[in-house]
Amino acid sequence: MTRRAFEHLALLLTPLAWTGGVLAGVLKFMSPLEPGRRKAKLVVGPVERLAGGRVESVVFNGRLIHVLEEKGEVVAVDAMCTHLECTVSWKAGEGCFVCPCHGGRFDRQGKVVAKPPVEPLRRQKLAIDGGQVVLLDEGV
Amino acid sequence: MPVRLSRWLVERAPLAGLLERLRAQAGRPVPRRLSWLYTAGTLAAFFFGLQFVTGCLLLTVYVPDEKLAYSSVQALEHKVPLGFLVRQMHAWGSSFIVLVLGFHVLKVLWYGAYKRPRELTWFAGCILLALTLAFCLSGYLLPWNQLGYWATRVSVATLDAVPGIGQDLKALACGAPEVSGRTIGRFFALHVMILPWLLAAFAVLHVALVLVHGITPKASVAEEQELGYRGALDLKGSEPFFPRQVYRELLVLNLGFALLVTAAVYFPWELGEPASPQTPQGIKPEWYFLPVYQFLKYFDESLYAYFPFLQHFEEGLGLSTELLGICCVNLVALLAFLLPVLDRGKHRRMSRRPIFGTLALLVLLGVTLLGVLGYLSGRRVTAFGRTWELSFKGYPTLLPEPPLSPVPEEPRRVPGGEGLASAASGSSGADGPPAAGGGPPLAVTLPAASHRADGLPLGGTCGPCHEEQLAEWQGSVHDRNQVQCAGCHGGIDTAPPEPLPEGLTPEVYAHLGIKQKRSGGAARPAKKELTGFCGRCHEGVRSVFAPEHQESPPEGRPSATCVSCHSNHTVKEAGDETYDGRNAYTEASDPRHAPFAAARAAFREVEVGLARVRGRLGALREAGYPAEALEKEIEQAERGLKDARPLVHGLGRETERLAARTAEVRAELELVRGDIDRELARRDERWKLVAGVWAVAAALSALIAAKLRAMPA
Repeated sequence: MTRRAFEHLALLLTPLAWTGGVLAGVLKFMSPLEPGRRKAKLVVGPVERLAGGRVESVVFNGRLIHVLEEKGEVVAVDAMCTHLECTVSWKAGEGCFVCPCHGGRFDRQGKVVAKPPVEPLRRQKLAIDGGQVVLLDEGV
Repeated sequence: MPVRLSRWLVERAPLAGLLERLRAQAGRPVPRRLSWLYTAGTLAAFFFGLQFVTGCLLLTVYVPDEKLAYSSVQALEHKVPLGFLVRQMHAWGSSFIVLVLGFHVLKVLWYGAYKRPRELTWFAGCILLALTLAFCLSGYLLPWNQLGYWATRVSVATLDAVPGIGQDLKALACGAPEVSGRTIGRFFALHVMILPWLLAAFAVLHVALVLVHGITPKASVAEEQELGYRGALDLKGSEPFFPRQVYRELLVLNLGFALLVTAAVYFPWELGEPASPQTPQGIKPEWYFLPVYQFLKYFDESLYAYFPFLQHFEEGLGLSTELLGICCVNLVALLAFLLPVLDRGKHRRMSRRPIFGTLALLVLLGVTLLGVLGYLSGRRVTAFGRTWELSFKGYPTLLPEPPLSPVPEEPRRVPGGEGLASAASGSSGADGPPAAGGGPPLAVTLPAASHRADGLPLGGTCGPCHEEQLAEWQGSVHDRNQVQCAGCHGGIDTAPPEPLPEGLTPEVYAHLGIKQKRSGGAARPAKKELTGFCGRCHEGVRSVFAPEHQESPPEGRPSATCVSCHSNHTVKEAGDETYDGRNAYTEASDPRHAPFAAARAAFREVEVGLARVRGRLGALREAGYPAEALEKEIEQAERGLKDARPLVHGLGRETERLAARTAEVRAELELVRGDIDRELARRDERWKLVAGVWAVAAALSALIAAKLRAMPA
């Protein structure tokens, strides 16, 4: 390579390096922020609060969770519908969770009773500590 | 494939024509040996481009709302990856543009480039400069910090001086009678929508006129008129725009970018405090508005002493001195704008324009002097070993020599009496006169307060008789937390009615409701009742303390009460002093020794962790990081520790729970420490960015310099 050709190449490459650097900076700036720190657990309240079929709804690490008692067992289900990610709400009159977007229905244990969803609602880990219902996030 | 693609493109887009035009432009002749000042225009355009890019990025995070603007800029500065760089480059970019435009204007004035036939280019350039300053003014408010808020308030307040419609103009600019949250919306719209379009339009016009008329030749106006542009160029020699001028501009852009990044990283514009109704000290506008700021200061009522006729103007025409000042500033701007009309001389060389040159130099010196005075006004300046204080208007006053006597030390602070020690000694703190004999002031003992806030003496209705108990109670945990005698013992702790009902003495009144001994007088709680006595308020402690210490203490060990460790009226708080002072569970044979020692070790570990995290947080806060969220997390950990403390009273029965709770607090603190360390490390690594930028800049600059050197002179 001649000296002139090298100079031309370098003059072309260096602005390209600038542009690349700036673009990399822009991409870094636009990258999503680190999510806030997740909580390892959340105390929902005493188990007695779920008596009489009552459904408690809480937000845990950014997700809406429904907590209820079913056949003597405390159950916590993620409210996000497994169809297209709307949140289901408890309809006491119908005795099931209903998705307002496409009418999907789930029973008290989160099993599908009416399509379009096919997957059951995601279960949330929980523990009973001293009579208190505690939601757990094992990923933390 | 590439050939077919390029053919496809060429057939559909006029790329070939475009390239041909570019080549023609590059080959256009320009005057030979152009000054480096001729690169200022391109550099300004480059910085405008950068402002556009960084501005677009800022828009993705900034929220133009009174409540969110400041926090969104804070987030940019501290949370968003490279957010600090983008914001600082944008903030510094405005200063760089004004500076470069200043050089550009100087070049135009020096070379007479505003003269025929380039008058329109000058007009468009003046409008571009005004738009740039409007950009700076409107952008200054947007972070909604103290500096921007008050600088904008002061700027907008000048509109008040306009007779008749001043208030309306101000309200129009602010969207309210004063600068308020609504002003953010208006300035934001101006800054990101209206001004950019106007600037783009006038920039296109300016550049188009430059292309039409070409770079100003070194020949006179008459010669250019007579010979035409090419002919005028040939008189003094010309060369094509490419390569020399292009390389020079590349070199300058290269260094300009590196300088901008360096300034952004090492000399950041502090965000400061959020906007508040309290004007901060030393508030001043941006450096490029300082000359106008200082100039307007001289237009107050003191002007009447020198120019009495101005009073008639105010009385007759309503022309106040403030308005006169604003008119003067605008007149100067108008004269500058009309320069091509006012200066129609045929010569461009400065040596042939002595009157213009002198006037321009005087104006330039005046503007610089006003800027310097504006910066220094209200400050102290030390020069030639003497200290001068410059007044608001910039008039200097020589300060007396400082006394040779040693500077007194700051008065020592008395625990619990911060800031009061100096007041008690009758001096005014560090600025006050030195203590007698010039030595440091003696430690000051604060006079004890003799009354409560409700007017009763200390100890309320009990204190006057129970002096011994009152003395013990003073300084106790209960005293610090406003728990009065009646809080534990009952009785009436408010001022007795006047006159007292018949048969009632103040003593009887104070003891009403207290359990009485058979022999009369108030009954003290029995030892076996003590835990329940304290447990009325400290149930959490009682519930874990009673089983271990009272209901079924270890064999051969005496039962204990709260008083055993915490004393009676002195109410000592938990801590090493209390434990060690009472020799609590120190015997190794005591089955409670091991769990107690383990609990103390666990608490100690958390306390040390807390102190470490607080120290790291202090370092982060000093770097300007908004630490509120982390502070809250630390406070939460402290609460966790406080909540875990009562478990120590359960000893062996609560070992597991206590270990779990302290472990939780430790884990929480570790997470906070991780966050702090990451942020501090991120700050420490900023130099790498600057080093990288300068490495590329140096490489490119060296290549261009070599190319320029190799070109014939």
